[in-house]
Amino acid sequence: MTDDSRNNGSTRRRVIAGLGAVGAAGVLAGCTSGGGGGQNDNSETSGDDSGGGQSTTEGTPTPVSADLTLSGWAANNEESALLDELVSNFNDENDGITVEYNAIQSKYKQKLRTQLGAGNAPDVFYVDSGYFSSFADADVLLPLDDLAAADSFNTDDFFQPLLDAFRHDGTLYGIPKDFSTLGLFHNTAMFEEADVGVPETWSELSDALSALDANVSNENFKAPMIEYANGRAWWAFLYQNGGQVLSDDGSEAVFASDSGVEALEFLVGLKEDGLLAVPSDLGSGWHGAALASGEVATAVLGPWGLPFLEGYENNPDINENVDIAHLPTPSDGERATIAYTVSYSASANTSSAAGSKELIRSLTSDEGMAQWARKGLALSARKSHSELDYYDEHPRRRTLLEAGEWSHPFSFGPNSEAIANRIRPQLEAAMLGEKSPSDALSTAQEKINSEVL
Amino acid sequence: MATEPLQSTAERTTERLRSVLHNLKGYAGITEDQNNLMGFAFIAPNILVFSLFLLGPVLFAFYVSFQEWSILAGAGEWTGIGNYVDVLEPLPISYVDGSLQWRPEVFMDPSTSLWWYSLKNTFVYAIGTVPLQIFGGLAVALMLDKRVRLKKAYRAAYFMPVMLSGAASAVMWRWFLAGDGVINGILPTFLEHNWAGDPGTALGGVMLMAIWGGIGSNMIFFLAGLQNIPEELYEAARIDGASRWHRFRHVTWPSLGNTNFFVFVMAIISAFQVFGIALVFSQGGPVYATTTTVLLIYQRAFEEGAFGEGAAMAFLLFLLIFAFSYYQYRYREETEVDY
Repeated sequence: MTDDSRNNGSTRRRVIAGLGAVGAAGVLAGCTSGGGGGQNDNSETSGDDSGGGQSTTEGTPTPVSADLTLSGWAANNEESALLDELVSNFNDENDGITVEYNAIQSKYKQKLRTQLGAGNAPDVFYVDSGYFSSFADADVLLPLDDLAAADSFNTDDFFQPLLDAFRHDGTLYGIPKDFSTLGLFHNTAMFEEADVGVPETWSELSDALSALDANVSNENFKAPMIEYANGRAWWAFLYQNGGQVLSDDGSEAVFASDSGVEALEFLVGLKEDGLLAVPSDLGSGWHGAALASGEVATAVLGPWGLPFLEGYENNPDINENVDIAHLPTPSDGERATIAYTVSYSASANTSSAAGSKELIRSLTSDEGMAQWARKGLALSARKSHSELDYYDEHPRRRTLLEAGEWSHPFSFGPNSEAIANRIRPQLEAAMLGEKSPSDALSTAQEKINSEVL
Repeated sequence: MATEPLQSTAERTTERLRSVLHNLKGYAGITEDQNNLMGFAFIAPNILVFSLFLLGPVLFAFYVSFQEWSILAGAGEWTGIGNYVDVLEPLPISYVDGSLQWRPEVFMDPSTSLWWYSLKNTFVYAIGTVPLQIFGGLAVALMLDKRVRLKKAYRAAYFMPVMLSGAASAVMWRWFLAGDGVINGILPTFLEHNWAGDPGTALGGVMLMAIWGGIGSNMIFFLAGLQNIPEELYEAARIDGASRWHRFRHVTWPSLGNTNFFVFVMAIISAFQVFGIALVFSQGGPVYATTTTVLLIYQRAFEEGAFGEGAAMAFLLFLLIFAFSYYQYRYREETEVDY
């Protein structure tokens, strides 16, 4: 079998050219590791690849031939058209590799997870940091350390928190495609009317909200600020106040600390003082709509709110009135915000590890990422891109981009979803006055430590 | 000598198998000499698809419920009845100081046990919606079975919610019941309330939506049932001097027995399976107020990846629905009247 595969491995896998011996090693690894071998052999191959076998991903490109599929969700038509274009450029530039882009329209995570389990996943796909660790933990992703190690790729340019979000046990399994941070969206016209400046601390924020509450005359105005009943901003406030969701080694939930409770008390206080409304109090279901209609003056929101404001036809002026600042922090606290980030990752089962890496390299390269970022839905994960002309024209996005530096990805290890699912209802209980903040957080922490971790 | 008892054991087993088979045939209404090949051939396509896409996955889920299953690895670890124990603990009945004690608090606090809490939500939902769906549907059907002006328009109007997708109705009702919604616009100021956002009233909102939708679908079944009641029965009753109420009580109601049974069983089953409207209306919140059993199964399995635990919950729910349907069926058999 080994001899056969030495000759046939390349055609059978459609990979190769120049990786024959390595391919055989991969098959051997597959044989020894039994059932899981199918998933491992290509990663073995890639390991040798970077170890300076016959070819490297640096320098002159090794001729690779592969048919790959790329999957992601399509946030909008414009975005999928751009991805189509990027893919077709890639196909033109890379002789041996043909990439087909298949968007998964709904229930992305569920479908991808099923495909990975069944062994027929796409070669390259989006992975959200929220469930990344559960994928990496199950060994279904291709390690990408060698891709990141290439000088030409310049990983130092990436915001490190984002890159770290796709590391599992020290190995990198994804390159950030883009990210979104939360910032303080505020209506400057209303702030002027209330004669308040942009708040930089929590106490300034509550003062500003009180002033807005008293002075804004807009007839649509209902509350100074909107936040979800499950208090999304709390996650950012927690980090600002020196708290953490999990202990450093991830073995224990520690968010019900004094810093966490204080952060929640601050948010709940705003709600109790009538300075903060939840969507079900208002006519609008989310922050963007509430800002656009003038129902509120402030919201802690991410860049996905901007296209909505830019395209809001009922009141085109609103877009000029909404500005973005960094989130206010406790007076002795540190800057922090939450980042939602998505990677390009490859299946450990990919038909061509080299081809998949080449595709990811191209999509997340300086130019590939810049083209993507110019669509404006999410931000470039490369720091140097804050110098792009695009961000001169879109200073609000630049503000959110800068926050990447001190951002904390919304990701808490392999049980992220189970953890978030147990925290959110308790935040809601506190926000709606059903429980005290410290009760709510202790309940969630206890549940997580006993049931999940 | 030594083989004799073995032989007789084998014989006895064969004998027992034969009688089981005989009984099975009896249950299925097959007589010994009947040739059923043609019948089986007719249902074969259905059986095939059913087994492949329904029975197969159901059996597989049963298998998964005894494992800590990772869908990514496509494999799991045996945990025995561990998942079932995790789901059911703490039990609402516990053995303390030599006597059984009923602990209703298990149902009341989501942080004690989300399973029992979700089950309580589901029961509240079922008890609140099923009777109103059924009697509402019957009342509307009775009204629209008479000569009424614009009868068809009314029927269409009542049936409209059934044609709407659950997700669309849920979004609509969320708007209606929001703090700033239409309902509060109608209510006097002192009754205004954020119905959708209050943990105390959110489940009521979901129930309202279900009743609004359920009346229309049950109306159709009752209308069909009413058409099937022979006119002679009413005629005879009138001749005997039966009042309108007596005609309903002694003619219409018993004649609708089959419809009642069908509607009741379906309403119970769909009440226990309520999912979509609760998910869209409020994602199970606020503070677990609309977390129904199926919603909890969805969250555990499909959001958090705990498929073993989700499957265990699904089987417990199945047992519950099965028990209800079975007793309903038995009760009906006992009380069935033939004319």
